[in-house]
Amino acid sequence: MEKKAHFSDYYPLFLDIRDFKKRDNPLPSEPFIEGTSSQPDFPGESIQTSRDKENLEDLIIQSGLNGLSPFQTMILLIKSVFEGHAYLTANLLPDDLCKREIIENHGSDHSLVSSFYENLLLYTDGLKEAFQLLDQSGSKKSVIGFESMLYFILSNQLWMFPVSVLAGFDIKMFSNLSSKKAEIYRLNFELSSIMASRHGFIKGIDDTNEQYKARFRIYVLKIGSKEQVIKQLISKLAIANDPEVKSAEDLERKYFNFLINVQSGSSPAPRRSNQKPVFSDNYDNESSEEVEYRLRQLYRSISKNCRESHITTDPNSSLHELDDFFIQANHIYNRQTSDASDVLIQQSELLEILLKVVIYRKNQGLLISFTDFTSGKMMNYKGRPDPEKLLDLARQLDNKIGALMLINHTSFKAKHIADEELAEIHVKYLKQELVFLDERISELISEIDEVIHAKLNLV
Amino acid sequence: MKPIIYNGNNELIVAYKNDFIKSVLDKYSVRLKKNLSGSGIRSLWYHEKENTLLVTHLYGSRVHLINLTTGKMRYHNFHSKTVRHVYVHNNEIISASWDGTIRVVDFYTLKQRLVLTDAGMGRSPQSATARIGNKDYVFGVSYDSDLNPLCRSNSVRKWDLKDGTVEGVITQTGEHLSTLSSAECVVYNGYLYTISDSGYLTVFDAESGEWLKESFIPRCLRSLIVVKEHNCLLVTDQDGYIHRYDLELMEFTYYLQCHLSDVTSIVQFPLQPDIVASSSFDGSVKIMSLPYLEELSAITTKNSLWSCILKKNILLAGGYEDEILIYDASDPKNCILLGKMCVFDDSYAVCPENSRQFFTDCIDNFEVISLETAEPITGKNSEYLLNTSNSQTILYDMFGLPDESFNLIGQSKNFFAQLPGSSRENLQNL
Repeated sequence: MEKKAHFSDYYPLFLDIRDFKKRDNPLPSEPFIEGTSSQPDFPGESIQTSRDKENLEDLIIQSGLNGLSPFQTMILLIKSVFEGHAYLTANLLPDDLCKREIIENHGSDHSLVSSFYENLLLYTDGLKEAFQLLDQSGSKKSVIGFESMLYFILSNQLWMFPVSVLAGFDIKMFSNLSSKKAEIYRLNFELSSIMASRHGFIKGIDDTNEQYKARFRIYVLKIGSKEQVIKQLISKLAIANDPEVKSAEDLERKYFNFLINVQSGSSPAPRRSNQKPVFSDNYDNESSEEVEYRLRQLYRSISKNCRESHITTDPNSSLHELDDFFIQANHIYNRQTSDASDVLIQQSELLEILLKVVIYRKNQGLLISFTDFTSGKMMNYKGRPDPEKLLDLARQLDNKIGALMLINHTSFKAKHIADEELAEIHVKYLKQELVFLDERISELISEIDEVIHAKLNLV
Repeated sequence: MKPIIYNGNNELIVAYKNDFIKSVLDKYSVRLKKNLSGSGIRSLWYHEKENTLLVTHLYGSRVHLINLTTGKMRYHNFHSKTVRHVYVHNNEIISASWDGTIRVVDFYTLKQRLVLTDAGMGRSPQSATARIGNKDYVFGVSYDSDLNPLCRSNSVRKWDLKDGTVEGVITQTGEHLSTLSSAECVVYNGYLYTISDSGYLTVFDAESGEWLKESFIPRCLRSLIVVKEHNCLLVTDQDGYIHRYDLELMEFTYYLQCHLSDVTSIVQFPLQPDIVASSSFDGSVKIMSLPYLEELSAITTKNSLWSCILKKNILLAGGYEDEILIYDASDPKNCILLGKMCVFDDSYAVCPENSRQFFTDCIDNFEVISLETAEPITGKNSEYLLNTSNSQTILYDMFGLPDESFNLIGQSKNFFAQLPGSSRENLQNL
């Protein structure tokens, strides 16, 4: 069974530590210069490094010595806590986190990200203590809103990026916040927590579909084509019953016109040119504009970080993964949306691609463009999501996911991917289904012929 | 997420798939395993906003929550004895139990926030919530004579829902007329109405607790509801009668013997407020029209029933047997049995009438029988067939589609695919 290519959506702590250990000088604020970084990391290095860095205090000291900003140090602290959570809950080491997507739920009820967010309270006190050490080690004491900064980092999944690209953030943006602003940060985190869990489910559905298609490829293709034939024959039968159709030639002509109409109506117009975000049910207009702006910025960031795919025509280019990333991002960005939940999922998906692109480029030693994404304005909604409406949003998403799982027969498919014996039995029934569909196709063809013959006899 | 764009032909393809599944399952039947022991059904509640059914057992202490959208079941087990009454108020589950407590548990997280009890509180059969002024209160009924032989009647306690402090204890009027205790209360328009197995309906001021009026019927009163549209209460008793209490006159004005035995619950049709349904130990559910309780139809079961509720036009009834019977009551004069739901401790199953398919969160509840040999199928073949038979669309067939997202999946009863001979109208709609 072929496996789909895996791209990491999380840059683990040991790689960040390796990055700043390698450099003789403190970490600069510019991104890596193309071609100067070493080979991509090897997992074998990581375990020792992680054990060395268990202590958060040590981490703060090391970060200070290596010239990381307080914001970057905070990121490292969160990564450390997350990796502890991953180990405690799923027995995953940092190496393992490179090899699987942490956003996806992998068949369980929670992804690592969503379970981390849901259990955040368990870790907040420890992080706060560590942050206080960090704050004291700074040159000037100011009232930094710890929780707000934490919610900001988690809401925007900044903690999943390589820390080196986050030098542009200043911790002072969280100083002396009003309680209203702090509440907005908290509610935005609640929103992202909802999105994290639902996004994980959706990825799980897609992954199950991919695995199922790979496992039973031939049958899926054959059944799919026979279903298409049935759909077309049903349309043809309906046309045959049209009083205006009096002969086989009439039928063919009308059916041909029908196919043309279907074909010409099926190409969607580019989304962004004619679609306003449908957001007013959950948010005020200001928030919907901000989300729209953020989607554009995400798309632009991805596009800039896939620059090679825009200019390279060499089919043997080793960076064809960037083509795939860009195509995916394009598809998501231009997808039609019907309501707030669709738009938010779109945003989650684009953010995921950006994560993967940046990590990919980091591992390949390529230049990373991150400035678009670091302008603080776009990272936080001014509008205030209503807690009750957040519940409505969660419900809306659950309904869509439920419908998607049913349409895709996700639970059924998952069982037959995992179990060899069931898979063998399933093949037997897939063969039966092919025969069944052939019989239905024959019946439809006969019915169409009968209708036309009946009409000819009348004439 | 792939866009949910409805393709009219999707429903037909679903129908063909269903046809194929039907042909596979034609040689087998599936049934619930005989050794599964349930615990009887005591209380039912439907939480509309979350499309969730709450179920409690006669012989278990759990409060089960079955999400009719996702099909998932959760439960909490804070009580130590049977939970006699459950409902949801402001996203919190409020449950009254024979362990002498009323508990307040968050609907979403299932974390317990309050335990409402005191040393003298006996078994609690029911509670009601009301907003008085700017505060929410729980009024909890209890059989305090369980713990205090000198106490000849039942009590109602008033708790502040914010912090669980008791603001008053009301003793219901009269003495028990029966060894089978029963009592309930309801708050409406600032008045607390309590009924008891003493035969008394007593009215108190809900805020001050001041006694206002009492009325007596020489029967053990069981259950009551407010019917706003008729400005009355409907009160049931243990002898099969339903009494009408006029809220303006503050007296009983009418009664009728509708059942042969204890009338355990009564509910109003949410979409047709002039129609009510009552369940009874005589095994029947009566559908009646107001104001004179004219019988529109009767459902007969083999089960002494404790509870009946309505989810829009779907009627659910449960009792000593382990099954919750599910009826389509969209025509109150002709209720059609759709199937049944069995709720076990850790799982549940929904079995439609006359169908080889079912829905469950645990296929181990079922076994597959070969129609040819009449013997159970075992091993992986059985597992495969059960997986094939297990379909969440059954849940939607019984309880309705959760929202428009689910229009895409079609419903298993829409068999367009039986060609030749399919309805030409359906084809012409393409």
